[in-house]
Amino acid sequence: MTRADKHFDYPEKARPAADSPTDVELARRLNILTNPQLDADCLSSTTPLLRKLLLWGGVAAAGWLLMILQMR
Amino acid sequence: MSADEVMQDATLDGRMPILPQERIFVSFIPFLWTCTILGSAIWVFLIGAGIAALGDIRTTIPGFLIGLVLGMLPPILSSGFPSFRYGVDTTDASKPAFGSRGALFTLVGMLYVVCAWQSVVTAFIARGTATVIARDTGGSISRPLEIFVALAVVAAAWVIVWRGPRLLERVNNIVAPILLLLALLMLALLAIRIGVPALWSGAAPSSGRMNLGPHLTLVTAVELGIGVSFGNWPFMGGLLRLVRYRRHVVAPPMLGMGLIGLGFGASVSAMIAVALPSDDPIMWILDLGGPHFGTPIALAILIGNIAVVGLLSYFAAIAIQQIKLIERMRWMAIIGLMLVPSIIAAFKIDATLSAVIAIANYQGMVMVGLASVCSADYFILRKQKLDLPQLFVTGRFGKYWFWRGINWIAVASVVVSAAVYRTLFDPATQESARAFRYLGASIPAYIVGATVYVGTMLLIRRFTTVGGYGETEASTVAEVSL
Repeated sequence: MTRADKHFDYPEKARPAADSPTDVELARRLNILTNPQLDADCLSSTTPLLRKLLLWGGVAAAGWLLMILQMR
Repeated sequence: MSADEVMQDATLDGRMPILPQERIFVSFIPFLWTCTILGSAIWVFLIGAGIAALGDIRTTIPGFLIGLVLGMLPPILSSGFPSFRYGVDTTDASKPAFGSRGALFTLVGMLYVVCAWQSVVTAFIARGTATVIARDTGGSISRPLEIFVALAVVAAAWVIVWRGPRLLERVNNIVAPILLLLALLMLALLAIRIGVPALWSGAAPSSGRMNLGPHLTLVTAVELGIGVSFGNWPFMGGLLRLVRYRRHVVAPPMLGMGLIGLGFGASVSAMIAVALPSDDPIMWILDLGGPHFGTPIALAILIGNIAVVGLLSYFAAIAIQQIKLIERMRWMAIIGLMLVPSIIAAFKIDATLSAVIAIANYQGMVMVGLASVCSADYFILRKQKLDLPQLFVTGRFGKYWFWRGINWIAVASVVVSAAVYRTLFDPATQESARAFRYLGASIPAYIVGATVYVGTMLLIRRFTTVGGYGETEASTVAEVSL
């Protein structure tokens, strides 16, 4: 049992469609990932990343504007 | 390798969502090197020559770099963020927008880009190696040797990918810094030969350049940068699903795939294209390195690019497992299948290399629509929340089934976006409409694609519940299957 499995004490969200090992493993993973108690950095909101991305875009746009102004 | 690692590798090689503890990129530098490998592949020489041919490099290089950064935003937003958050591949992450079956449209686009560039790199390594040997032996380029080298590249890439992404990561950690150092060395050798001030001159390359006027030159260079960056859309999800921490999601791709790998390499190549008479990148390297260093530098760059062929076939091998028949095949057979375009390229090297410009020009046109729809769906309509189990529900009871498995509104929005792009800019001839000089073609095409998609979907939502918009999660347990 992995550390993530130990948190598996809430209603399951996924069930294997067939009894194949792949589908069983897929359902196990999905139930771990949808566990609200799972504390993982990657599962948190992507909004702070959006701000970072906008900063990069803003700097590039400002550079473009500066070049246009320089040409005038 | 421990049993846990074997199990993890089986997951990393497939479409299973990757759990946080299984993700292999846990620190900044190794991930930066993997991104740099994709950025600094051998195509930087061809793109650099294109930058020099567009106009004065004092305008086109900064314009290209600005375009690179702007063009990286949509792939990270639309393909990277959902894949990072949920540990799924780009094609699976596009299902909420395109539908359970409609994601095959994104798969086709992805396979086109990945297989095309993989073939180009293979052909370039083969032609380059044959050129180096021909020059050193004083003979002509040997056709059988080219074919042999190309097939050897395919075999080496197959072994690297067959051993899994861990070996790929280790190879990247070695090769990426070497490729970067070689680009620096070429810049230093050029500076020694022509002097530092001459590096940043307004001279034209010997093969000539376009005469578009300063403002249109700048916009066309920005557009080229955006178009090239959009080519990263298919890889972004496959790469970011392997990243564990949020702090590594933006900067490494932006620097590695953008500014450091592609931007720096292409800028150096543009300067060399202006300074040296030949238009063959391998001849530039041999010429700059001289009799002692030319051959080792050229061979190191060519061999280093085998890792790029491996990385591209890895992404393609993951994505193609959407097709059930292929998913049942063994991992080594899937990689072999994905390397078939490179095997064909081995026998058609001239045709492959002459298609580079067409590939680069059209990828932006296709990818801008896909990225606009996916990012609008994820950020505006779904508020950054996907129902993860529903991505793996295959039948009509799935939330992302739409109409017979396809969201035709998303498909139509991609077509509208591509039409706007084509109206503003002809990728084949580089002719542009008057409106192109304001914002280029990709930015308006992206905005129009996203607006048409969001507007139509909001209208449709008044009449139907397809797509599961507004629901946070399904009330029933999802029956999932790969």
